Amino acid sequence: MPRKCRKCDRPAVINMRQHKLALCADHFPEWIVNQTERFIKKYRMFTRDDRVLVAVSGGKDSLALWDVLLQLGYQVDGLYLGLGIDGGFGYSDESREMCEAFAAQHPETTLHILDIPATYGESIPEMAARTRRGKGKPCSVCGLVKRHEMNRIAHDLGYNVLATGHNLDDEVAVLFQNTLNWQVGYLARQAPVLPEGEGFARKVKPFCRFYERETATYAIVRGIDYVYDECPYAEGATTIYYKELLNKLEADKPGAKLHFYLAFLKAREELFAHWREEKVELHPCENCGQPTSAPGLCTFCRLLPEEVRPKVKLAQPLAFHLNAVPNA
Amino acid sequence: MTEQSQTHVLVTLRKQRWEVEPGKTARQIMEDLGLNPENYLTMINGQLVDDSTRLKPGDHLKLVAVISGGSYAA
Ligand code: SF4
Ligand SMILES: [Zn+2]
Ligand SMILES: [Zn+2]
Repeated sequence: MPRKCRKCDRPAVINMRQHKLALCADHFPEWIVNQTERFIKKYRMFTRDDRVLVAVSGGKDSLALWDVLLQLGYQVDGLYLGLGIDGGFGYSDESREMCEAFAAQHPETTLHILDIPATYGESIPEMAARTRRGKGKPCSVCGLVKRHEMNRIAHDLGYNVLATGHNLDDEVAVLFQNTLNWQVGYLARQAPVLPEGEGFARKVKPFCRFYERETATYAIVRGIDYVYDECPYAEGATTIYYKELLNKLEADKPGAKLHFYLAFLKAREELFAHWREEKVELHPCENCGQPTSAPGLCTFCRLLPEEVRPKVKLAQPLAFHLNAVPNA
Repeated sequence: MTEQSQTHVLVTLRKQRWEVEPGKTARQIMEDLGLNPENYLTMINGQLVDDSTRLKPGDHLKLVAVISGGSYAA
């Protein structure tokens, strides 16, 4: 006999061994929504007065997060960045379609779309090849562009909170990597909330305590179509290697990942209570105005060819729902 | 998919496929195949189920990989 739901008699769709909790297709999504609300409050992420922008990639985590925040009644919209990545199966096109399909089913929310190649004249892999930053893998250029553009758009459109779909597996993989290398500065900054700074939106991760299998289950049970295929450049990424390693541990010791993360958050408070970020003087970028550590251009603007730089200030994302453009 | 055996269990994972003996749980089947159950969700005949569910002859067990990679900055 299949395992039964803890709250009713129907068959469970998931058994969360770390919580000794099995739930059915009705009680599981309800649990996810309630837990998310609990984490948002516990870590003081945002309130119903804040304007939240979710970075959506078309993957399970970010679309599930958008769905949960809408159910909870937050003021939340989505931001999709078109990276121009093909990988032989139209990865970027497919992921954009998933986000558009989700937005089309939720008329109460807006999907903002910024297409990088259409705006700056080059796809992410092309930028990476031209600048040779990242040696064959465009991920470092990609990360830099995403951080800059998300922050810029949040600011331009008046969102004070940027939410990402990072789950517990993402967090422990990074934590593990940072611990192996004793990256103290990174450890000090790894948290469910990064407070807003001069010119930077607050960054929050409301799913940071859910296992990846839980966010995937949520997406499937809720009938959310997501891109199942990875970005082609993710293959062989160290994150995946560490996730598999940690899942071996989890298989033998249910709850090991959750414990690693929660014990870290607790230790972090003690260890870094008096931690002061090295004071770096920030200067506004000459071109885009975002804070940067060295006077002159920020790393993003330096990446762009000179004739393209003026576009940074003018680039506006398209709103999927034209009737709901904020601040219009 | 090609025609399915009525005496065995068809297991699929992306483009890979196996035929295995019925009577085991989805978790046991993954372990027999050398796969870590933590990395997959299990669907039997299109229904998401918890992996303690036992498979019957003619069932289709679909494994859904849950690990995603990419950059932390994503
Ligand atoms: S895997 Fe690399 S290139 Fe692909 S989306 Fe992530 S950071 Fe960008
Ligand atoms: Zn139930
Ligand atoms: Zn700049």
